[in-house]
Amino acid sequence: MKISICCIITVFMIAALSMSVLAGDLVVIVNKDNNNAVDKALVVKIYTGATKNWPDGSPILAIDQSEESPIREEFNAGILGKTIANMKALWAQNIFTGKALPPKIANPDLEVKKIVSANKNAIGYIKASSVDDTVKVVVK
Amino acid sequence: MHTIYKRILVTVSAVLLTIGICGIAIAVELGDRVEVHGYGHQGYLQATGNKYLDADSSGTFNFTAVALVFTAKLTDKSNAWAQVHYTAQDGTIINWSVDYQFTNELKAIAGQLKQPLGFYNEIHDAKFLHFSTIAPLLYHDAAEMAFEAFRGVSAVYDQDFGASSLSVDGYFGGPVAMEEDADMSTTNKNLLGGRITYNTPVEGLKFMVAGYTVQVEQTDNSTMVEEKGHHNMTMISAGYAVNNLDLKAEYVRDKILENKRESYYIQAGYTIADKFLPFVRYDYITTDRTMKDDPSFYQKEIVIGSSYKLTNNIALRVENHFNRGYALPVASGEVDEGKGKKNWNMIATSVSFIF
Repeated sequence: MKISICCIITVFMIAALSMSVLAGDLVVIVNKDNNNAVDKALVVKIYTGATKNWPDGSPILAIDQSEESPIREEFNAGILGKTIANMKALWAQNIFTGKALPPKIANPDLEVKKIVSANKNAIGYIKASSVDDTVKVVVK
Repeated sequence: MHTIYKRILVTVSAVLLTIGICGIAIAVELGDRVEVHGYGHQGYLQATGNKYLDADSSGTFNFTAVALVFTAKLTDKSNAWAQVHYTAQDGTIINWSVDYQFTNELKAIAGQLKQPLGFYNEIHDAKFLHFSTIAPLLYHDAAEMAFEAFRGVSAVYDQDFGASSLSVDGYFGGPVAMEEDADMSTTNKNLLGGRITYNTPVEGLKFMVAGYTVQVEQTDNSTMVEEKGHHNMTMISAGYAVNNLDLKAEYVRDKILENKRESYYIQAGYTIADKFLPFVRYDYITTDRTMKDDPSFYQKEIVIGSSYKLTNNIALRVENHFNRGYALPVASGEVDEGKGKKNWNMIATSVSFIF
């Protein structure tokens, strides 16, 4: 009986550990020359269309990854606190009413990094393992 | 509807639905700056007792909408938007706009714009974004409480307070005509309105206040008596959407010339397993508050239904409307005053999509 309980606890601990590794495997990146203060709350506002400009007034170029990409689901759930379906409905409403344009889609991490490193106003998200010195990590 | 239009509609619907079903349901990007999106629905309605929305006991498929939405980034601060929209009831409508973002807070818009009013007016026919196939009574064409669109200008001011935010819409223009009444010629002009949306610090809780005034000229086609005055309307809305729970309530009071009217609804839905959204709604309207005990002038309904998302782009819906009173069948001209059935039902089912 004790062995069974130990096994269950171990399985749960491994699962929890792997979940936390997954959650920490994603980072939000901006251009190296972007000096705006960026936190999770601002990222949420950018990706829900509530904010269109950086605090310094320059227009934001948000980059999303495709719906099929596992990192998009992780970003939506972990950073935005929404499902892909929730986000799709929110952006559909913005588009159909002409209120805002959705983020540009780019895949994979290499392309996101390329756009962000080339555009001072861009923001995107990639796997932590894809980060290099061409971009700046603002939210982990 | 002309046969040629029907054929075009069926073809376009079939193509768009196929696109959705095949999972290619993503926006089409034309270069870096232009995107094409769209939505549509095909419904089947059947009514027992009173004819309404073209539906009687033999049912109707005449509940269709297809729209293509074009968005273009003109500059970093300016976008263009156009919507080519076809419905079985109203034919083709083209709404369009050009906006300019002066600051992070202030945007100006010009064109043929959707009237910002309540939760549903701007997405009236994008059924995928609704709980139900048939919208709350106050949004029905026959209720004449909201305009589909207006030609004019609008200013939007957004203020961020950190945990909460405020958005103020103000607009002025000429309303795009609603469905014409055979007995009455109506001209509306000089529409002036606004909406304030407050997203509270409580996650998912928002409140809205909206209103408008418009000049009205009505001529009774049988007596040729002409009346002039105003149509004034105020609306308050509250919504709470967090996790899987979605609650909405709206209240409207308006006055067209000397006719005072009222409508409200309360609606609750709960998403199960990301796919099912069962909901319930209580809805009320009176098209003449001085006659609110006469079933020809009031309508109370309880709606029970559910939607099912086949994919993130396609949804199926089925619902039953248990009605008492038949104010909107009278207002739409499908039932004569005093000749309808007080208790009646309407079943509605639909497939809707977005991309």
